[in-house]
Amino acid sequence: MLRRLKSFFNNLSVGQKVMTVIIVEVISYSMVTTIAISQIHIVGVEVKQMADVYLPLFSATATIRQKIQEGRLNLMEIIFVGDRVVYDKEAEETYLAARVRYEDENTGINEQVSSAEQLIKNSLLQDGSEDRLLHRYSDGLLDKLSEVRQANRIHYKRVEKVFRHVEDGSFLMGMETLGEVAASEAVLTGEIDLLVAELETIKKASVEYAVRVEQIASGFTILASIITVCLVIIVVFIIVRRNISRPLHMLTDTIKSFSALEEVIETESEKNLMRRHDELGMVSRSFNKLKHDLSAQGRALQDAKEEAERANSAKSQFLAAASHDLRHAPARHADVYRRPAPEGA
Amino acid sequence: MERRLRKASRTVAALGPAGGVAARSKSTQSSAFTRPVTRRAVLKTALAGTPFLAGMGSARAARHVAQRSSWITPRGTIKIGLLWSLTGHLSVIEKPSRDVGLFWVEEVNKAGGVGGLPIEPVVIDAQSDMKSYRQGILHLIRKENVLATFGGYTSASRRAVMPLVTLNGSLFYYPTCYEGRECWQHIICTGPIANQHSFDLIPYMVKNYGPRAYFIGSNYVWPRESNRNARRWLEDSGGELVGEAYMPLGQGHFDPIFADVKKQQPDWIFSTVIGDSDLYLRKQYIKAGFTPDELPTASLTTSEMEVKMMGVEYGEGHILSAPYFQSLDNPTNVDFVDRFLASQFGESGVTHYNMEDTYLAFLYFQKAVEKILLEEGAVGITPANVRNYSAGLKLSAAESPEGGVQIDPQNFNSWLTPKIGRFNGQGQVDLLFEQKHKIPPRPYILYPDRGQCRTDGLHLPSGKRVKAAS
Repeated sequence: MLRRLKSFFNNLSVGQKVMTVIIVEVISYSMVTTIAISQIHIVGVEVKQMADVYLPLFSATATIRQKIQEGRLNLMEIIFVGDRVVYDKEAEETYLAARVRYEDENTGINEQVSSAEQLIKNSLLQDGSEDRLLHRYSDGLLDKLSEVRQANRIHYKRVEKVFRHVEDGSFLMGMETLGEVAASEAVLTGEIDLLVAELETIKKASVEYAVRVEQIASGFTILASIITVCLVIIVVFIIVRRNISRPLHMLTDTIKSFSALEEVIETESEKNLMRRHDELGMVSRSFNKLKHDLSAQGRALQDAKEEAERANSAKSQFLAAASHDLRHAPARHADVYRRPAPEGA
Repeated sequence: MERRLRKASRTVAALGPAGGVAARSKSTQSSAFTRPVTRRAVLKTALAGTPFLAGMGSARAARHVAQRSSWITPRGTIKIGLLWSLTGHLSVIEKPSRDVGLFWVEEVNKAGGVGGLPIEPVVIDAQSDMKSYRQGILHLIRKENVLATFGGYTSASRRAVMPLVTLNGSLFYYPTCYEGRECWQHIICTGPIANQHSFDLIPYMVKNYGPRAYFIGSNYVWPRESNRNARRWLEDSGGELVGEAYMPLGQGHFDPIFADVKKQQPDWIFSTVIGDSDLYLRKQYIKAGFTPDELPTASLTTSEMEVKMMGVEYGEGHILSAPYFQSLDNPTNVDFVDRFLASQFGESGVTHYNMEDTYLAFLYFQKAVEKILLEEGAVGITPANVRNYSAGLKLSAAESPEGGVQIDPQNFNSWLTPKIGRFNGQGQVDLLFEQKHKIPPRPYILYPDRGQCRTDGLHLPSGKRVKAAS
């Protein structure tokens, strides 16, 4: 596989190789960035999901607080007319109206709690994955909400006791229970404070979570970019060194050491180079052919030269012998033919 | 009977050292650590720590001891609370009640106590402040462990303390007039309520002075409720209400009210102004140029005490409705006035119905405790039992300065004889009218829908029973 990839790569031209490297780099960088961005997006969605829960809850607590406040005002009005309710039609009407308002406020508080619980449960249903932020806090929130409901129930029971005293005409005994009413109201507002504190914690946690993930993601992106750049440099270096510069060196060396008169010997690396399909392969093949051609021509020239020299020497010998013979005895002629041929170049 | 009583007192005396009056008990109190260890004290401590013992059969007798020891002090005395304002704007009228209380304590202790048990009064200053009233009653009930508390002058103070008295199962004697319309199970009231106070007064005024009435009151529950009653009776007797005004407690800016009075031209004024405000009312009445001949005031509260405070000329010619006047010419009253004024507590120099009703409260208390001692012995002395034994309790004309009176066995207000009188130049009241017989208290006379006040609560027409109706 690797070999095939290698051979495929080797078969590309240098331009294509550079292109390939650039493409690989761009793709890998985009992938890393995409992963980071998608990670940020996921966190964003989750944080938004959280915000979709805690923002309405914040407003619910504010509404509940307001209703408690209004409830208290209605109770004050009841206390103001309370001792006359059983004697006085007008006081009774005031009382009944204030009581209806009080009960509306109380129902309102319960509705707020219920809808808050529903909201949390719905959000939990919407995304099933257990590791979400919401899952970590939902139990606590639901607990706190049920505490609020419970505190409101107790508070309302005590207020109802006041109502009963007012309606029975034992108003002053009802007034003695106002301490308890105030205490249970304090418990109720205390529970709401706890709920708000929990919401603040969640808000903080989700913001921190977002910030942390964002930091990790951006760090990841930066790191990935650096790694990609390094990788590209290394790859480029290896490619250039392995596939361009070393073969070029080899070719230069071969050219330098080339002698047309010598036999053409192809080393293994030269053979490998020549098998390549890229420009360097072409260069090396051409050069090899050139080498062979030059070598052949050189040998032919050498042969021709030797032939010429031999002819020249024969001519000289003949001339010398001829002149000597001419001058000496023909007996010597026989010696001339017995002598070995002089050493050629 | 006398022998039985003496026997009871001996029994009590045997239980612990019979102490003297407050002076002596004080020294004993301060050395609580050196208090002799008695069987009772040991039992009390033991039972206090282990209340479950009381529920066990074998501890049944011990429970009575524990109860008894709660209400009779280790010194063998009975503690009572005296809760009146000795300072502030109500002290003018409340302090003399305290004086009557101490006067009675001194008299009764001189005679050997109630059934042989000396009375130990615990005096608390309520400072004309309803919060102090509440603190005071809690201190008396919880810290002092008093058998009963006597106190209060305004309905506001009664309404401040009664819930606490009820919650703690104590007993409160309210010794002055009030509006009725309440049904507590831990109270005994010795003063007149609306149907005994203004019921005769309003028709009397209409008949003798004319139909046009102007109501002026202090701004709190009693005057408003009194005026509600008075309005009804004014209508019933053919009168006409031409104006109604209220003054905050303790304040005295009556000029605008009198300006309106001048405009409305009433025949008479019905006043339920109390305390310091009453003094301002009288002074500004004269300043405004009114005279009792053309515009008399009929009051439920401007009594001999107030008139003496501001000067007889401010009272002369005005009308007062009350069950008692200092001037009542009967041997019991003459004796009472003499004894009281001669005592160290008689510095007020005068008696009035509020003081006399207070005195009656102590007489009722004494009678009830003596009755318990006779029938059940010291064991039976509890706040609840004192009230039980007070049901229907009578004081004869020989005991009560205002004439025969009786505690209603159902609603624990008093049966009494309403009287109407006019102040003379000596600051005393000349009797103008007296009911022929005792009038029963009817706290819900204006509200028949509210049913009947009985011993155990207000029985509504629906059959429902409301405890501590207020």
